Order: sequence, then structure tokens, then C-alpha cells
Amino acid sequence: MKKILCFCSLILLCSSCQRNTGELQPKISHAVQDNYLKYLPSPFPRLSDNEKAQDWGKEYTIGLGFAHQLDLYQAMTAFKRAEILAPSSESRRVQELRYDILLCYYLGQKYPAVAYEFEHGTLRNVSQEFPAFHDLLVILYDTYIKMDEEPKAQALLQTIGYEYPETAQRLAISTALIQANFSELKKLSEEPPPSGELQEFLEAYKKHRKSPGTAQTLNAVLPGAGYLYLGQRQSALTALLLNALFIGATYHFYDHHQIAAGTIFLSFEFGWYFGGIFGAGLEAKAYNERIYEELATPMMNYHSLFPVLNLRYAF
Amino acid sequence: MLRYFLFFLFFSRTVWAMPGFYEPWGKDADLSIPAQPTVEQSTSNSPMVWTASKIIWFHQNVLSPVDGPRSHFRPSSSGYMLEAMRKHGFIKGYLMGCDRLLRENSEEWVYRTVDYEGRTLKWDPPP
Repeated sequence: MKKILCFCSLILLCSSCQRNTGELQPKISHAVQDNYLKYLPSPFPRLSDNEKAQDWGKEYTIGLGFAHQLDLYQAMTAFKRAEILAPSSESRRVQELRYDILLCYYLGQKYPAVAYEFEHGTLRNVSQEFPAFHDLLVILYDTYIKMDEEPKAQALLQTIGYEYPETAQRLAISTALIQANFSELKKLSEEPPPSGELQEFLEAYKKHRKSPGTAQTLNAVLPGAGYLYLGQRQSALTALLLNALFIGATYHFYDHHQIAAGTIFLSFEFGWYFGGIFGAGLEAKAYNERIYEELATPMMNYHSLFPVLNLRYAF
Repeated sequence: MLRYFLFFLFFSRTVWAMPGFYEPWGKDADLSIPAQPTVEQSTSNSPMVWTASKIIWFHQNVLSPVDGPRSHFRPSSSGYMLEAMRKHGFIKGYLMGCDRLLRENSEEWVYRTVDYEGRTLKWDPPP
């Protein structure tokens, strides 16, 4: 009996004291407002009257109309029809249409479709002379980041760094902030010119974060103390009372040789005690994620660090 | 009469319910930002988890309806424990479920919230 109890305790102790790796998974997102995209200029010259009179020109115009309303599906289908109708002599316009289709997919967060359109289309061959070259690079970088294709994203970031160093720095900060990559953030904050704001952000986070290890240790020493450390008062009281009650009941039943009842209460007590230790680590992580989000989101918005806010043009 | 009825019944099914039938607005019609967070699919299905899932089913479908929904969370604590067991195995899932029961109170803390059936609940899926 004692051996079984020791074995169970050991397993539960190993499970409950498992340290969280500390890697945060914050959710920092930005919903692009219609107005923001509406006021961005088009990178391409307007259609001439002659072009508008053509079938493909009409479809192009319809596509642009839908795009300005952010009705992306309708816009994208109109652009595709225009691309099919456009004669081969209008290669420049066809290139524009392909970029507009890619932009529709990007704004609609269809990242695999963006990558497919780029990798299997003629946009692969565009150079700096392409009017939306900067935006194309930003879109592709963000797409590959979202698709967890780190090598491709890094290669793109290098390319952006040669052509547009300021954009590259902003994108690097943006990615490090979204991914909560603290080593990268520290490196970026120390790079010349040193970013005081980034250093302040890191210090503020360090000041407000809670240690998962401390929370777990406190819950192990006194059930509920870890929750109290995290600011969960009601949970702390519940944990303390339940643990006290179940320890008392277990002791009582074993003391009166009521082994079955004692074992049932002991199995529940295992859950409360070791569950409390394990959970304190998880809650500390959740707390840190919310703190991080509260600090990072205003900074990302204020400095327009989200990749989509780095676009210079729209439709 | 019955023959006509059966003909139209099955004819319409063969036209509209064929495998690979796509609605007229196409594969990209959902070009919009997803609004709701989604819960990942479960993995583990050991005998212990299976047994626990049956006990939780009994709780959810027989015991819980007696006094109605009382959980402050979404997913509810029983759903959370079941999902945690399926994702992380029996022992870890059991510990996570016990931890969740200790936190079952009205304290807001830093949880995200979701509106569900007219109530504002704390959003806390198993990690």
C-alpha cells in the first residue's frame, strides 16, 4: 500500500512540478480599418478612357470598386476575369492585376494562397521598377512569417534591408514583438540607434511579470499561496479550504481504519494539491501573456508596426 | 404518385448532393477575418481517458442538467478536463481539471471573455 502511494505521489509530483518553458504565446492582432486602406493611394497609373472601354478594363474597374469597399472576394474574382480578358500586349496591366489578386488574398488572410500566387506566377520576376515592389516584399515577408517558413522570411528581410533599411528594422521589431522573442528584442533595443522605448517596454514587462516557478513553489508550500501571488484571491481561498478539508478527512478515515474512504479522499486530495501546483505555473504563464499583450499592443498600434500598416499603397 | 415523389427526391439528391459539389460562390468566398478562437483537435484516447470521458459524459448529460449551467468558464470545467486529458494524457489532464475546479469562481482576473447564450463567460481553453 505504501509503495503504491509513494509511486502515485512520485508520478503526480513529476507531472505537477513540470516547469513551463516560459515561452509566451501572446495574441497581438490588428483589424485593419476600412478607412485606412481607402485613403492609401494606388501604386499604378489610372486606367485611360481607352482602357476602360475594353472588356478587361471594365472588369478591372469593377474589381477596383469592390476592392475599395473591402469586398475582397468580389474584387478578386473581377481582377481574375480582367486578367483572363486582358490581351498579351497589356503585360504591365496583367502584372498589376496579379498583384491586386495577391493583395486581396493577403488582406483576407489567405496566406497559402498568397504564397502560391507569388511562387507560381510572374510576380517572381518583378524588379525594383515595379511600383508596388516595397509592398510586395512586405506582404511576402509577413506571409512567410504567418506560414512559419522562417528561412524564406529571413531571406526576404535581408532583401528588404538592402532596399528599405527602415522598413526592415520595423518589420524585425514587429515580428519579435508578435512572437515575444525576448532575446531578439533585447538585441534590437541595443542596436544603434538604441531604442529607448523598446528598453522601457522590456523593463516594464520584467517589472510586472510573475514567475511561474515562484507560483508553483508557493502552492507547494501552502496550497493557495501561489494563486494569491498571481492575484486570484477566491481561488486561493478555495484551494486552502479544500486542501485542509481533504487532508483532515483523509487523516480522520485512516485514523479510524476506514481505509476505503480514506483512499478515496486521498485520491481527491492528490488532485487538489498537485493540480494546484501544476495549474499555478499555467496561470502565471497566462498572466504574463496578458501583461505582455497589454504592453505590446498599444506600442504596435502607436508606431504602426504591424506589417499590414507598413504598406504604402492599396488598390 | 409515389413513383414521381421518389423520382424527384432522388433526382434532386443526385444533382445537388454529389461528392465534390461546391456552392456557387466558390472556394475563396470566405475571404474574411476569422472572428472566433478555435479549440485544437484532441489526440490521446487511452483506456483511462476513455473511462474518464464516460464519467464526464454522465456528469454533463445526467447530473449537470438538474440545476442548469453553472460554470463561469467556456469551455466548462468538465469539458476542459476532458479536452485536457485528450490533449495531454490522463494524469496531466486530471491535474489540469482539478486546477480548473479550484478556479471555478466569479473572479474576473485577466481572462478573456466570450458571450455565450446571453452570458459573459471567461474564455479558458486547455493550453
